[in-house]
Amino acid sequence: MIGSFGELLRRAWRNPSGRFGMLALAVLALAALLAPPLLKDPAAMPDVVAGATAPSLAHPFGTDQLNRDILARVVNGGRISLAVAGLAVLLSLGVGSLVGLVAGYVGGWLDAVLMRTVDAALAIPRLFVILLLLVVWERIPLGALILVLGTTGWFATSRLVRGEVLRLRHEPFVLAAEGLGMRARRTITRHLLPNAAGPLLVAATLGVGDVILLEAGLSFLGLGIQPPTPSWGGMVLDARPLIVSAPWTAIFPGAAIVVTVLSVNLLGDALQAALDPRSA
Amino acid sequence: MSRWLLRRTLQAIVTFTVAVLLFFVLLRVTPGDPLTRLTGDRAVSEQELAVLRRRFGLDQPLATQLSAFLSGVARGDLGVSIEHYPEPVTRLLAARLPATLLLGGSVLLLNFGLGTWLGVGQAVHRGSRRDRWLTRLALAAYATPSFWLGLVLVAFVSIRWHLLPAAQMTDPLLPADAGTLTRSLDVLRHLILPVVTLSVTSIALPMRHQRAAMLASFRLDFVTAARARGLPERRVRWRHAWRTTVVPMLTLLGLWLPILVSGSVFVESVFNWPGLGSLAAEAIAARDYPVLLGTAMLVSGAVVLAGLLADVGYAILDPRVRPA
Repeated sequence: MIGSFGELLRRAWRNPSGRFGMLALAVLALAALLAPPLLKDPAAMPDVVAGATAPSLAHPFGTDQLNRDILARVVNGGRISLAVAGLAVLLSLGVGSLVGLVAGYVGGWLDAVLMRTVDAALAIPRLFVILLLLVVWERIPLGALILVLGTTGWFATSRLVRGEVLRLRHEPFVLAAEGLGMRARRTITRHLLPNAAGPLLVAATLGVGDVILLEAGLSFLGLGIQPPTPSWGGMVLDARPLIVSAPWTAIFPGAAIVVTVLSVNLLGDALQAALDPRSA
Repeated sequence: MSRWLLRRTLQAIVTFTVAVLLFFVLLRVTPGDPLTRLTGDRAVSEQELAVLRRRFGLDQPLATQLSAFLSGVARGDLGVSIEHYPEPVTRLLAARLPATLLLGGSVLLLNFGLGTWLGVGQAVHRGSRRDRWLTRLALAAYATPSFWLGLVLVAFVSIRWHLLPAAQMTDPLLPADAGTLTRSLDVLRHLILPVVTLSVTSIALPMRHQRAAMLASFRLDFVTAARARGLPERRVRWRHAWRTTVVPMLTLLGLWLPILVSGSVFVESVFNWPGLGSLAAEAIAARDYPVLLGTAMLVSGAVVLAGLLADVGYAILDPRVRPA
């Protein structure tokens, strides 16, 4: 199964969109990991008098209303956005897989109850669930934000996994494994999960893009990552009153969101095409 | 058909009831009890809190509270706003609904129309340069945060170039005796930027679905047969292949609605559009929990209803999907 996982990535790499996505994400990840120490802003002290200055050699993206370097803040914001999205999606993937496996494998009334609950949860737009959960906090801890984003993103994943389990359950190799006396847990971890890995990878990739957008939106509403920690959505919020006099303060963090989410989705699309060539 | 309809309706009611139950759970898993939300930042003594607890039935067992909550929702009582006390939440929602229906309806029409046209074009020229670039463009638009796009449009189109109004739904300087046509044109001018923002950021979905549906449709035998009979390609494309995709596309309404509604929270607040989205955004700023909860419940109800209507419409138009 590992072989075909690698094959999936190889096929996505051969797709120009997939390659662009992978390369762009690699650059973003490297920037997030390596750049912060290099971007020690010489003018890190807030300077309200100097205010927002236009892009220049010293500050390629310009500075914001407190004269902070926007490039440094975009890179640091990206670090946090990517970490939050990655962790939240991992959490969603775990919970969704668990629920989907249980529903699909155990079946019966448990399946019915779980799936009706998932139906109902899917009827409530995710944004509103998150808003209702976050609006009560005075200051939102980063951990709570990840928890809320992660625990509201698994509904579709659980359906996906359940579908895969139902599809695979009666495949000869699974029946053979069960016939040979393989335990349920081993059947699940050795046969069911690896075979569902492809669709899960696609869902996770697209999920990362969704969560980055969601987190940016929440930060724009003041309910996401809390200042002074930089976040792309928060930077756009700060730039709102400056949008006419200093448009660069809004344009660069927004562009960072677009490029990142686009790269993630191009990769997800290429993976989907590699998995199911008919859809391309 | 009528039994199927009954079952599908019951299913929708169950879904909505479970959703309301989930809202109740949501109220409980967040830190503090609903009173902390009612009192907000105001300083309240322990005695006052006790009185309020009794007043709102919070000293009752959980089961009693749940049934009170459920019967309130069933009676259409969603509580009272904190910010606009003592205005009932339902009245605030009703006042904001028309603007959202106008905005959302316009976006839906535009997305269905333009998305269909682009998606069909992509499927026809599958794998071409145009197909690939449209896919990438749609993904880029989908990756664009609506609040950011809205702000940039306001900054340039409205404030720099003075082409279109930046906010609100009507011009406050419009003379009181202006005719219906003038008023409609005024609303239309205010409508353009919010519609463009919301449409750009959400059109990728109908495009993709239409493209995939057309590709599947092109593989069907009767399309091949139509081509074999020598019918003009345009006729095969639209009258044969496309027609089979229309009804399945309509059923996606239930899927698009949540995306549209979530987007409208940002777009309406950026453009100060007086709809449900900006009501939700105001409720967040004012920590007006009952209003936010009410908006969320109304939206969920609309999503369930849209899903039901789409399925019923599908069953009426396509007899194959409804069991005898």
